[in-house]
Amino acid sequence: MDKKLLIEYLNCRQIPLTGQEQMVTLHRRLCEAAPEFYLYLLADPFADLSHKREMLANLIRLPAAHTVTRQRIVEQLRVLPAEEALLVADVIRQRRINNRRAREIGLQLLIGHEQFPQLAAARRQRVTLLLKHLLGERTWSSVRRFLAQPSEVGEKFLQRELLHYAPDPALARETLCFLAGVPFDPTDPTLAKRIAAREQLEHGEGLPRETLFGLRGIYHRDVPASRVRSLSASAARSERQDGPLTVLYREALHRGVKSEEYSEELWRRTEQAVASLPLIEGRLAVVLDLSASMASSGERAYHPVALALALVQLLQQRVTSVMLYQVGGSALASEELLPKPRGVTDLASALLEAARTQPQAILLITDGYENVRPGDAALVLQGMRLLGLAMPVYQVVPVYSRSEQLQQRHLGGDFQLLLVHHEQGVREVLTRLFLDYAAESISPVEVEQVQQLLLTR
Amino acid sequence: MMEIQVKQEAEETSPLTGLLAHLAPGPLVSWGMLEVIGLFPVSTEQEQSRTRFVPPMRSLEVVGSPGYGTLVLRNRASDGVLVLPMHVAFFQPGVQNHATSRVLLLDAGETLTADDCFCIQQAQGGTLRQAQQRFCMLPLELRRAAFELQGVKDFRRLWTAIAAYSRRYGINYGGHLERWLRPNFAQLLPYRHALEWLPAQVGAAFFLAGTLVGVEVAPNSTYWAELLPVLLIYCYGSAALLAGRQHCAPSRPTLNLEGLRDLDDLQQRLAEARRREQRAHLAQLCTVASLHKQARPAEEHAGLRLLSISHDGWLGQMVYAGSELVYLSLFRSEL
Repeated sequence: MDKKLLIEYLNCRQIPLTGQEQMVTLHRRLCEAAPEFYLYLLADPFADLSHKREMLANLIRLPAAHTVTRQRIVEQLRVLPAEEALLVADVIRQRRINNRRAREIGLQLLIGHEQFPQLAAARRQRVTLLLKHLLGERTWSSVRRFLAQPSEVGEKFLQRELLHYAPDPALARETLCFLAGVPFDPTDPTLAKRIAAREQLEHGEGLPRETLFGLRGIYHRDVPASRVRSLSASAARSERQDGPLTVLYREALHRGVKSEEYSEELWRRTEQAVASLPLIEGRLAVVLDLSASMASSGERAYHPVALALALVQLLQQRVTSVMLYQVGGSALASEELLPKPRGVTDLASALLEAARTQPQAILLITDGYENVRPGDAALVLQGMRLLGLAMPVYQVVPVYSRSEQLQQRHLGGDFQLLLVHHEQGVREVLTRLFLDYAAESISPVEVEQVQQLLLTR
Repeated sequence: MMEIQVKQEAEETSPLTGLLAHLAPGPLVSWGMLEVIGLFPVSTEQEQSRTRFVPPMRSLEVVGSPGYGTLVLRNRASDGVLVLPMHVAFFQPGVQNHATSRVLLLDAGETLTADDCFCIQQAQGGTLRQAQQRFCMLPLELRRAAFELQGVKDFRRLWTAIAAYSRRYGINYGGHLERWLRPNFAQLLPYRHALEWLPAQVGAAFFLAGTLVGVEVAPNSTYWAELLPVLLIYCYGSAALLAGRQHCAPSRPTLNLEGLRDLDDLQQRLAEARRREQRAHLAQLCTVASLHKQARPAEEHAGLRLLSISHDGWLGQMVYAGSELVYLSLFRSEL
């Protein structure tokens, strides 16, 4: 496989794909070059939903992907959270994909999903529309009829068309009744809650916010929006999920604990985090920004520095040679486990020092607030290029949310910008390093290594 | 590490005299159009002798505003003097926001009524409620009008200046400062993040596109740590944002890469460009060193002397404890 395909995928996977012809072509080429690898990308946690939808459409439609069985596609979709899997599978309906492969994948995923009742309760309209598309209007109509008027013929029909996919046919029948609008006595608590909420919204406590707002719009127009928000489950779900090392560093910085008090726990978590990561051969220079701005403030307090320290810790464990150059900080990170953010941001000088050792790649882990003559880092890189130093130079920005504005904080066009919002982002960093060292055309064994780096948890 | 070394070198050879003789400059830092040179005490004893000055955010309480243009403020600290910075503003939802027109001195536990404040929200009724209130600061471009209008008892007197200022940002809502602030706050916040507080720092000189526009000095580093974000976001950041929108360019010596020999050569050129820039900025800072000779007494309270400066294009106020300068806010009248 051409490694450029992978690099292009890494560059674009977080950007919504809508209407981007180049990205659509990239997906097709990736699928044709390595369908097995492409299948695993369906579970890429950092890819935008639109990419996963394109992947599923390609895996169903492109002849090159027909070596991948339906069962394996469904298994891969089940790795995703249920709601995300539904949104991905909905591409079958939205693009009007009508073939047996699509129908089998869609029905296996939906009816065979252990959270089928919960999905139906929370996303009734979407699930119904998808089922209707997969079965066809006439078959769906027959399903409704046979559910409402049970008969021997009807039972055989339901079994043949739908229920044989279900791990629990009785529960699947209940869910189908709910979707088809056929009266039934719910035994599943989520379905019961959803039905009861039509009478009284309070009974729907714990359902997703969008579901409750939908019910409010139809049945309970006088209930205030604040009440709906307090009843919904969304708040709990949207809580931030930082990685274990980031959490540890952040807590330690907040509480101001001494290194020795948490070093044991740090090593334990590090070992766990690197267990599934292969070792990368290479000489890497890391410029670590520990200037005062890396402390951030408010709800983001200590997040950038904690994430940066976590990334360095993981890189040191998984790259054979890492040289660390520090900007600011209360102590040297190589000597002290928990240096505090402090001082000005002179990235240019640190970059110069890093370049002297002629590493294979340089990473600048920084928030990008270069305040000692902003633009000097870009000029130093320009100077390095003039002197024939061609190693890739990355600016890794630990971000709190994907929506952060970084135009002003990008050190310059020559720096490859990598946004990392979770310590698992180290996988992308390692993958890029691996690809930097690899030849233009990568072997199947190397593709497998990339797969392990990017996707194995 | 590096800044500590720079500071130590600076202490030994501080080029600052007169008004700023007790201070040493740190390295020049910048973001966008705004450049800052941190000011550090030349001796550690100086810092220790000024711990009696309490930090303003955690010590100030707004007791209320009995009428428009009047603020009742209290120093919550049972021990320590509060020097309330010039031109601070208080925002509360649903009531008339207010700003002060001068430096206010409050002894430990003292409650003070200032009846020459500005209303800064033209068409909003209601008076400020009691709160331990965070404050912001008037934008640099408004401070001249605020300075010149101090002592005049008319709560509406800053509305015309606010309206003219907002119009420069394309906002036409009369004398409502918060209508300028709200849509621009996200762009102002990076100044606070980029221009970081340094340990032991007690003040800073602020430059806009290479020109010195303000010097601010606090009694001690704890006080400064609270004041610096306010100055960066509301006062000087707002001026830098406007300068950026007007396409001003920073006057920065460029790093010439022509004929570059090796990395050592690159390092030397980088260091030289930085030295030249630092020197040029320090030379400007030295020009304000003798302004204290033009200051006139304004008030004496809590053992402190408050003086005002209006001379040679500079406006501001300073506070002395005996012969020692403990607070300074100096800004250019024309930008």
